Amino acid sequence: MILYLILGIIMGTIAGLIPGIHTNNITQIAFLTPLFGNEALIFVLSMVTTQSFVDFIPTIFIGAAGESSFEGILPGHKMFLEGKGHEAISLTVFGGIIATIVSIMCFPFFIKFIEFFPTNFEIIIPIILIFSTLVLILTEKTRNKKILAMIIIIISATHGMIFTNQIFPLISGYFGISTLINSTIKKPITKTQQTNFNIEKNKTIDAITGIIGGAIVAFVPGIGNNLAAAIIRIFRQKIKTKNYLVLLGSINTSNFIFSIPVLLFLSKTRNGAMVFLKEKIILTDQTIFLGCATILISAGIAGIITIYLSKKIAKTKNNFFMKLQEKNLLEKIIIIFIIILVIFFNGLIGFIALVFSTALGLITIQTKIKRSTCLGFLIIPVLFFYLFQLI
Amino acid sequence: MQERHLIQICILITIIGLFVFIIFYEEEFKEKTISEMHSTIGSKGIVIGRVDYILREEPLIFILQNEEKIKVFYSKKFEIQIGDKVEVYGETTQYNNEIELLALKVIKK
Repeated sequence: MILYLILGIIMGTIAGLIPGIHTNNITQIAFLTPLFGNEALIFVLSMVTTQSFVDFIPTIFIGAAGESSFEGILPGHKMFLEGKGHEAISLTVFGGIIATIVSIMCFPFFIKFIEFFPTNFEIIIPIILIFSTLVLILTEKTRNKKILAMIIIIISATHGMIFTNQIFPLISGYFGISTLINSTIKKPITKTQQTNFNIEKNKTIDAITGIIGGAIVAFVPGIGNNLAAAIIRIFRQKIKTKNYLVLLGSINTSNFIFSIPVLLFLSKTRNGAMVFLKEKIILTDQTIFLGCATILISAGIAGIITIYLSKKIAKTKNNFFMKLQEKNLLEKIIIIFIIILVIFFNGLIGFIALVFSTALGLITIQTKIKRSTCLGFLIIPVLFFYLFQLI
Repeated sequence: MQERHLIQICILITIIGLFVFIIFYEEEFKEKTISEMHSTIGSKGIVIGRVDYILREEPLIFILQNEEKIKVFYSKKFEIQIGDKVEVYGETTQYNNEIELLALKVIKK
């Protein structure tokens, strides 16, 4: 069994380090194997837990995110430019570890909560989404900027509806490549990456906020963890970069942990890994305790792996990557790398989506409109989905 | 909190996790005979035997035989023929006052 745990951690690390590979892809392969019962449980849980931690390394260091961590590109990249890439990663690990401990302790309460909470979300969710969109527009300072924000939301919503299932190219364009192109235009950054940090204890509050967000996301259909984080950010306008990274780390891990009782007790899931478990495990008390133990072990190990890799990369950046950066080559190499990944995983349509989303991302940078307006690609299609259901 | 404190917490939760893992881990499926499976409803195990008779193809219902016989119900599509040697991972349930084996996985040997 320990072998399946180690294998899951290795696969989760690989899936986390390579942007574009999701644990869902690996789970699809696992469906073809004879994995069953506890073996399947341990393999999948350790893989997904690990990925939820490691995922932030490419997001912060190279600006290429997975589906579950793209909200971290901007705050993470900001800290990276300040020479605090390792601290940014460690903040997400801190959020993830707090989320693991508290979420597991809250399991029995959460199970009771989902049993009694009304599952009629058709009215609540559209109201939240409309309100979030309005906040996005109305918090822009001038009238022209408000109009521009509205136009950007409409364009990104159009992207979301035309390029269905192209989340990776779209997020890479809005938040990744556009940021990198902007960096290449600016003076090369030669800041040394620091490897020391100090996390203040008050960051625990952000981790708890993330856990609440993660719990809601786990059982409310149509809202992903990035969308939830973005909504929290919209309402907490003055949230600091460091606090936001803790919140993201927490929401990412707790969402996955809470999706387990949702699967087991409500038989609902949107996560490929959970679909796999639904098919392959038999629910007993032993399964629940073994699942919790697996999550604890893999979260602890994934936290250490993430901190170790992040420190290694930060130190390497100070040598090899730094030289590339001085010559303004690093961003260009990363851009080419992301384009190759997009073409490889999403084909020509993905590449077209990447071009359009990069263009829109650059417009938001140039016009100094909040980049969250690009989230229209997620918010508006989900809003339409609920509105059509009401009709 | 510094890096070493964060790592210490990670190590601590790994140890707690390992402790819980060791306490609650037990082999889920052990190889059992049909008579052992018959003894308790809800008992889980692996039964190896030959397909004696196929009652229905979808969902698959067949009679498994080793030293005794038991009716096996498998909700998934699976091709077998009479005489095939199979390994059935399952749980005993009672249906129409008859004990049958609810298969969770069937492997042709």
